[in-house]
Amino acid sequence: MNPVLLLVALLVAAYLGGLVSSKRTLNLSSGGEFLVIGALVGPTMLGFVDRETLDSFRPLLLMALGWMAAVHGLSHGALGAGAVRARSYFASVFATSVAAAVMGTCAFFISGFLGAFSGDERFLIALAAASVLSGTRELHFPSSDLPSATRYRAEIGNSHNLVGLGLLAAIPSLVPPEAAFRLPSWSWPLLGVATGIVLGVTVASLIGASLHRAELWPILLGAVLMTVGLSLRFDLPLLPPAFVLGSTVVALSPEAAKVRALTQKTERPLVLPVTILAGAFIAWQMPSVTWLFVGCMVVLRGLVQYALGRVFTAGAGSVSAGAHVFALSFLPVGASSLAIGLTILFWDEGMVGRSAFAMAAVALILGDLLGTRALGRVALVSESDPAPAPEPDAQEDEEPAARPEEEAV
Amino acid sequence: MSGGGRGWRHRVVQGLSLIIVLAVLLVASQVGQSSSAPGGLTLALGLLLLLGVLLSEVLDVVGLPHLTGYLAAGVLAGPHVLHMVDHQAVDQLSRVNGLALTLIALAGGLELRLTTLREVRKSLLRATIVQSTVGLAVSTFVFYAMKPYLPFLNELEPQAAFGVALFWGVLAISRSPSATLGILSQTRADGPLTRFSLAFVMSSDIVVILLMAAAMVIGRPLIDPSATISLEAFRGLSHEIYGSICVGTTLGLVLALYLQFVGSYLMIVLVLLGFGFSEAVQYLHLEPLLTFLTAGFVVQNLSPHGDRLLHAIEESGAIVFVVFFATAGAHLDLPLLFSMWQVALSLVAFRALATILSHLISSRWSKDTPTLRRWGWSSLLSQAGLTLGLSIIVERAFPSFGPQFRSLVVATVGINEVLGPIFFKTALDRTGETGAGVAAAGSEGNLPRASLRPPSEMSEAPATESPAPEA
Repeated sequence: MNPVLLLVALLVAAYLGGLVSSKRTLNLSSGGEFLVIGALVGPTMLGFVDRETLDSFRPLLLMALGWMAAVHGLSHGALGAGAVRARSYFASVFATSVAAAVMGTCAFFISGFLGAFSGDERFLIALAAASVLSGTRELHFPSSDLPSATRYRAEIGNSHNLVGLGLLAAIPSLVPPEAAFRLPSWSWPLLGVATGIVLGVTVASLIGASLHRAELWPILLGAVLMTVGLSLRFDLPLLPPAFVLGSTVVALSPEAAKVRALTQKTERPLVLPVTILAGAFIAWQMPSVTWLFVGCMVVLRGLVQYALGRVFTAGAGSVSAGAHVFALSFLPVGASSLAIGLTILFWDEGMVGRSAFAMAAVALILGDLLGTRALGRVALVSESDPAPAPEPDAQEDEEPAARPEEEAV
Repeated sequence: MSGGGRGWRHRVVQGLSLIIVLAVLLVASQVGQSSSAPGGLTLALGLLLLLGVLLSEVLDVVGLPHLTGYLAAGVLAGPHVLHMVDHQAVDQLSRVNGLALTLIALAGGLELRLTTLREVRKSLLRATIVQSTVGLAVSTFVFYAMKPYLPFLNELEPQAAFGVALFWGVLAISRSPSATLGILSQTRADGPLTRFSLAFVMSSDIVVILLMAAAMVIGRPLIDPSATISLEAFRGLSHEIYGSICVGTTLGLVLALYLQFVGSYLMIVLVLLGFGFSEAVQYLHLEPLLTFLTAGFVVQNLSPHGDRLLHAIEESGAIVFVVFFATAGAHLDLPLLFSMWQVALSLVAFRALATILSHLISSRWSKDTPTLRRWGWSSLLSQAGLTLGLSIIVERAFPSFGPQFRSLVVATVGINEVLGPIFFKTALDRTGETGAGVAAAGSEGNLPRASLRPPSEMSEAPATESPAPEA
């Protein structure tokens, strides 16, 4: 396929993604259908997009992943213009840690039992599974003035990706990169974090007390791309440093809410083209035992998320949709899980990377099938629901003032 | 993007940030993998963006335009100085040029209001005539006179050398819409000089394209005695121009309808146009610059949505222009520039003299205002993409001397690219037009310039009332 045609197709997808997310009929799907389209046209299925063309898009994909991670860093632990409540934040981090521990342990033993992986690869796949499968779908609203259950679900979802990204950052400590200098294996993750902090501090200082939008984009994008480039140069997973950069900017900049509002609008148009391209990277030719392992892990993830959802019901106050629906709303997978899977695939294109990415992809499709409707009910998707006041900073673009169902992407 | 009103603390922070970024990069380049690894392009793009903005802010202190900062960032990080961005990355980043030129042409068309054109039509017409005759003749003569100092020209027969000099003359009267728009976007200027510069530079593109086609028809038989004058080139050219205007008009109408009935996600639409539609235009053998210029003109003058589209372009341009000019800086062949600096500098000086002389003649003829008479030449010195593009055409048509000719063009464009914007910004500062758009719009940063508003509103905010230039 001609690269220009593919680029045009991706841009059209980005346009549709942005348009769909702004329509009244809320699209809470994580983009499973786009993932399937990408997989179908990819080199391992119908072959409309050959491997060479796909590889030529890799730099673009890496940049998009870095930007998404930075946006997640900017919106981490936030709801509307403010921060999530401390109890919700710690509950989310604790629950994600539990999920990660369960997924990692199970991945280690199941991979051994099935004989899918052996030796050090079992540790690696355990860490990858914990990183990819511990999270859930984010919910962004322009305001925190929401019914208690909706607010709680949004707060949990918007605080979950710290653990997954932390585990992703730890992967190089298992397999230290080949670099021109020697470092203790435990210090590699710290190098990535330090890169994100240094550039995050730089961005926050440059933005300073007065935010010039025309300067914000090149400064922020430049810093994110530098972080991504440096991570790749050090052979580190690119998401954690970019996420740290975003979080550092939020922590240090007095204009954090404005920056967050401006950047959040860029996420949805990026997610769909990334999802299509990601789909094309799915390697179908894996041994059946590996697919069996992937299937087991995804089913297990569903059970764990459902169980955690039931536990969370207790803290959600009155749940009008019912405890069962509330628990099911934790099944959809966020864009960050797919991004983590893709990052692991790019970091290790062997069986571990392929399996990690396959887990993310299958979890995303199944999560969309089983949990999107429930998530919609928890997020109050109906024309009759009261609309919280729109966020002032979110209005200045060309979009009309947002209703909650328009913003909850 | 002007950094006016920033305190010294902010400048110190910018300086420190610059040092940090360079230090991180230097460490990474020493200890990491090679820059040709997958992250090389990403790192290069990030570096050029960040370094471009930082250097432009630092140079802003001494009154230099932001564009100079972007170019300096490219030169500094490029393959000839710090080697942080290698040749491969520079070539890959050049793909963004198509998008940048689309945005520049669209913005150029959007800036051409019929009211503005009517206002300056007398000066515009006479300046075009004089620059295209006197400017072209002087530049051609000077180039021919420098024959003994140009080995590739000295080897040719006199009439062939004259043919080559004719090409040079046409290239000498080409300007840089991107540099002009880049400076105006930074300074948010408005006033007689701004309006004249916009109208002249944008419309001169069309004139230069036509003159180059004519020069090819006349020059080819002079250089190659076996060739004859053929009108086929003119037929092809007229097809190209007519087709470009038709497609541009259609595109402009479609854009106007889109802005009327949908109007969202303009940034994605612009990127789609820049990468997808410009490919289609090139496939049809049309002139992309003229096509998008026409489209912008149609949107501005046949719909009420011109300002909105221009605003979206300015937002996207914040990133695209930095990359475009920084890549141009990294592309500068410094060794070549050093090897022929004397000849290149002489040609640049004579071109500047020819431009100023032509401007003085046309300005006196048009009875321009003293401000325009004194500073009207300042926007005509910059050269960039169009000049280089035309030199490639000459190189392909005449392989025997084309590469040397193009090297000389690259060297002179390099100098003009750096010096031209400095002169233009200085002139805008001196005439008090800098920031007039902001002052009239009542805010800093994100509003369109005053020149975009109807003349009735503009008259309420004369340029002379603008704040003092920050430099």
